[in-house]
Order: sequence, then structure tokens, then C-alpha cells
Amino acid sequence: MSEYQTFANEALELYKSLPEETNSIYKRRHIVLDLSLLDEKSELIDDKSVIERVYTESIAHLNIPFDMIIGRHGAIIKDNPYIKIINKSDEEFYSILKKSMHDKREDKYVAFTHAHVDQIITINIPEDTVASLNLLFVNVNESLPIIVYTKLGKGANLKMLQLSVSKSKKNIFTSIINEFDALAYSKAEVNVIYPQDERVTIINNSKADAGINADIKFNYIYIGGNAVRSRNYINAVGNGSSINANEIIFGSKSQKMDINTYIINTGRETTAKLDSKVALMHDSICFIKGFAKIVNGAKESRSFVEEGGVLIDRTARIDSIPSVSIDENAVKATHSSATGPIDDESLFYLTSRGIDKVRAQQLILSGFFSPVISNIFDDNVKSIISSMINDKMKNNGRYGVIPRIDTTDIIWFSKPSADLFERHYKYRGN
Amino acid sequence: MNMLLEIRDLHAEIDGKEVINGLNLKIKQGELHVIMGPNGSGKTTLAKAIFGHPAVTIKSGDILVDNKSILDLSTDQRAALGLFLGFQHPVEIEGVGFINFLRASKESLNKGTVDMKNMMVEIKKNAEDLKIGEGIIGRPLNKGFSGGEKKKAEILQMAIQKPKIAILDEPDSGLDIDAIRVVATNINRIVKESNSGLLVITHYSRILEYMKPEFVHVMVKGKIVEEGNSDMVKKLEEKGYVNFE
Repeated sequence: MSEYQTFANEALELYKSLPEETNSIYKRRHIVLDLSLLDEKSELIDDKSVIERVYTESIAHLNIPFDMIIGRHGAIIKDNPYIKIINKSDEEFYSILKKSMHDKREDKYVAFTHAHVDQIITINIPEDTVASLNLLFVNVNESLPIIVYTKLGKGANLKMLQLSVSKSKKNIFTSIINEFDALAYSKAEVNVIYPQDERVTIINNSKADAGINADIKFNYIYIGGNAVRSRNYINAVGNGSSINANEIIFGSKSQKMDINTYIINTGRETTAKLDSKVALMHDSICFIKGFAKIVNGAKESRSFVEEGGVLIDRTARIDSIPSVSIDENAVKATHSSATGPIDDESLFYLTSRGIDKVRAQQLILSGFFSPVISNIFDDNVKSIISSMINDKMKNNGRYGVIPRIDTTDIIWFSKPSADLFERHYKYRGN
Repeated sequence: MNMLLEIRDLHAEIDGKEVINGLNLKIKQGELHVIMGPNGSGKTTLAKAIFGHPAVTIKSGDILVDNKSILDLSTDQRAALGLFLGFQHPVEIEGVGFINFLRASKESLNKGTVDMKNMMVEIKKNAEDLKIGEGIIGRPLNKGFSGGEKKKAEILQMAIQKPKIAILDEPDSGLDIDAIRVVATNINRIVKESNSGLLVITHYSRILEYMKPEFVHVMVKGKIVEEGNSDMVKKLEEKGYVNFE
């Protein structure tokens, strides 16, 4: 038996034995995924025409220049010096997997993914290089377990979109593990969007380390999938580094979402911020669990966790649990949470101007999500997200369809600085 | 044909308490009416009842537009008939742009798209007339507006909507002397340009120095207790509402 096979078997056993939730705070507040129908191993199928067809039918209208489209049916990579796909048959596959930042013993679904993964994407942005990458993950009747390992060289800048789409007649899963290593003075914005249909169970795991004075931002958009389980660990490791996680969660019908993000201050004078906005309709459920941890030694650091929730229907349920754990003096940390129904007076005001109830709710939701959306640098990504939110609201909570860009009700306030990188050390004084 | 808004023997409750108690009123498009009354007499509840506020329960009576009951219509459908409500306390809505909101309103009322260029010209002209800084145009709806800006923004919305009948709930409260004059002058202009009917709800006579109402109604304990012309305003100013309570 090969080393990899032993590793995979061990991971599968771990998956079966590990509890759903290991953090005692959240013991009673998590969802249970039934992967029994989904965890059969399937092999890669070499038929790129399948993913090409889905791309043409589902997403070509967005005119996004994707650098890579990948599914179980194959991968299409445009001429790109930074992206490499490593398959199970490649020699380095196991050595990369072994060095994974995610310990499969820590999380049931990381173990599950390690047991099934057969493709690793490596992204290497060299020192002092500015890059923009768009990745598309495609599920067509097959589950997709995948690991994306990104390394940002010293002083590198990266804007990355990771968009997932699906077309399936059977129940499948998408499991994406992001491992992100941002070296000193690097800067990044990563937008991860999950709009899949009701056949898909979404498993999202991220681990990111920010080096000295690095500045990284993750925007997670959870709109689709019958169930979403997400665990993110974003760590400001290097002194002076800054990490930022923004989450938009919009659930409907019987969607179940369990979103748990840890922001960690490890280095001195670091800043960590988590802003989560949840809106739910119908019978959907969301556990939103933001956890800020300031470790011993992270002097003069700052940490903020903010969670906001809107219940469009009273039958939906939001459990919002912001937590802070501080092991260092001389730090600044805040956490807050506020959840309520759509304000009747706001609705009355808008409808008194002739705006029908659905569009009024849509406007209020756009406003609710606006602080997070306005924090995204990439205007194209902003438009895509806003269009998905509007489409879901207009169509009684449907998801799994990538709508055309509709900027009718889109306006963003508190725009971030015109150039994400303008305060970067390389550009100061230019 | 000029619109007729009619309230017939209306009884309405909020939280199980009767606030409107057998009220009758007729307003024709082109007429200027004023309702005056002490605090708690039900003036704001009346405005809300006309627009179908969810907290107001109609127990009996009717509200009609052109002899057809509007009680079964939703709030937006009532607005689509040509009714406008200027709020006493305009609601602040985070993240909803003022212009975006105006466009959504106009598109809904027109049942189609709006020529944004023309609308912006109209907004800028009215903002200038109302002496509102252009700053509010880029801000979220009523968010961070001063008290005066909020009131003026309501009148600006009225100018854009061009209603057949407008109900303005205390358009003068919280305004300084100069702002009252500016607001009143603009209400007069908009009413004239749009041939609107107008119902102004107020406590005080100051704004009426600029408006010359044709019909003055005194509302006490949920019903109209006295009606007259503009002379009534002077009388109320001198003697107050004591005689009616």
C-alpha cells in the first residue's frame, strides 16, 4: 500500500470517528451533514467538454476571464505562470498533502476531504508580483473535493475570485480547502462565492497565515447549497499584519448553514476584523459563530467581531454567537451581535412611495449587506454578489442560478480607498 | 377627472385602543385642507390609516378614492393611485441610497423605467429650491440628515412623485423660521404645478401664514369636532383647543 493510500485510509477512519463539533461552546449549535450517499470515491473523468458546456450554459454571460476552470471532468487552465494542478498520480501530490496546514485530526470534514481529494491546485505568486486570478469550480453530477494551496511571496499582491457552480441530477458535495500563506508585506483579497443549487452540500475550510505587515482579506459569500458547513481560521501571525474576514449569508427554503470563523491575533500590533451579515427567509437556519482569539504575546493588537442578522420570515432561525478569547493585556477587542426581523416602519416608508413589498425588502437587504459589499475592492465581484442577492429575493428564494448582472438597486456606500494597495509600502510616496 | 379622497365614519384602533372615533372627511384634488388638533388627538393615526399601516386596525367605516374602497389595497397600491404621505418622522434606512430609492419609487409608480438624466435634473432643481445641500443625494436614505433636511427631503419626494392628493404630517415641526417659509413656499409651488389636493396636519399656525387653507378641520379625540375656513386658524391660535375638549 502506498504512503498516500495509508494516509487516505487513516483520514477516512478519522472522519468516521471524529465528532461533528469539537469546540465545546458550539456543541449544541452546529449542523450535521449526511454524507453517507456522497462519500463513495469517484475517479477523475477526462471529459473537458462537460465543464465547457456548463461554463457556456451557466456563466459565460458574466464575461469573467477565468484563468482556470476545474471539475472532476477535467481542468482548463489558460496560459498562466502561477497556477499548477497536481493530480494523485504526480509524485509531489502526497508530499504537499502531508505538509497541509489543516490537521485532519482537528476536523471531521477536513479528514473527509483528505480521504477523497485527488486534485491539488497550487498558486505561487512570486515576490513583488501583482496578480489577479479567477478560478471556477464546476460540479457536474460528481462531487468535487479539492485543495487550493496559495503562497504569496514577499511583497506580492493578489486579487482572487473563487466561484463555484453546479449542475447535477444527484446529491453531491463541493469541498474546498483553502490553505493560504501570505509572506511579509504581501497583500491579498480573496472572494469565495458559493451559489450552487439544492443538490449540493458545501464544505468550506480555510486556513490563512499573514506574515509580517501582510494584509489579507477574505470575503465569503454563502448563497447556495442545501447545506453549508464552513470553518475558517485566519491568523495574523507576523507583527503588524492585518486580517479581515467578511461574510454574507443569505438563506432560503430549507437551507442549513453552519458558519464558524476564527480570527486570531498572534503577532504584535496586529489587527483582525470579522464582519458577518446573515439574512434568512422561509425555514432556513444559520449558526453564525465568529470567534476572535488574541494569543499571549500579541501585544498592542486589535480585534473586532460584528454579527448582524435579519429574519425576513419569522419561521427562519439565526443563532448568532460572537466569542472572544483574550490571553494578552494591552489589547483592544470588541464583539457585537444584533438580529431582528425586517423593520415594519422601514417597509411601510418604502411601500408608501409605491414600491411593492418584495422590492422594498430587496432594497432593505441591499442596504443591510452594503457595509460588507462596499468593503470588497473588486467592483465586478460586488456586482455579481449584489445581482445574486437581488435575484434570490426577487424569485422567492431560488438559488443555483447565476443571474445576469443587474445593477438596478445597487449602490455602495463608504467605498474603500480607490486603490486597495495604495498604502502598500511599495507605493508610498509615489 | 379630479380625485376624491373620502373618509366615512372611520373607527380605527392601535394596540386595541380606539384612536379614530367616527371620523368623516372629504378632500378633492386641488383643494387645500388643514387638520389641527392637540397632541394625541389621532392625527398621525389618521394619516397612517389612509395608507394602510399594519399597526392600525380599521374596526368600521371606510376610506374611498373616487367612491371605491381602498381598504383592501396594499400600501404601495394606495400610493399608486396618486396618494402621498409626508412623514412626521421620516425613517432612516441604512445602505439604501436616496437616489436609488427615488428611482425605485418612480419606476414603481410609472410601471416602467425612468429617464435618470431627467430625474437628476428635477432632483437638483427641487433641492436648490428647497435649499437642501447636494450632499444628501449621495447619502443613504434619511441617514445623517438633520431634522430640517429630513422634512425638506419629504417635500422633495413629493415634488418628484407629483401626487394627486398629498397628506403632510407636521411638515413644519422642528424647522426654524426661515426653513418653515422655504418649505411652505415649495409646497405651494408643487401643489400648483401638479394640481394636487393637500391635507396638512399641524399643531401650529405659523406654516399656515404662507399657505392660506380653504378648509380647516379641528380634530379632537379621534374625530372632527369643528370645521371652517382660514379664520378658524386665528381663533385656535387665540383660544387653543380647550373649548373642544
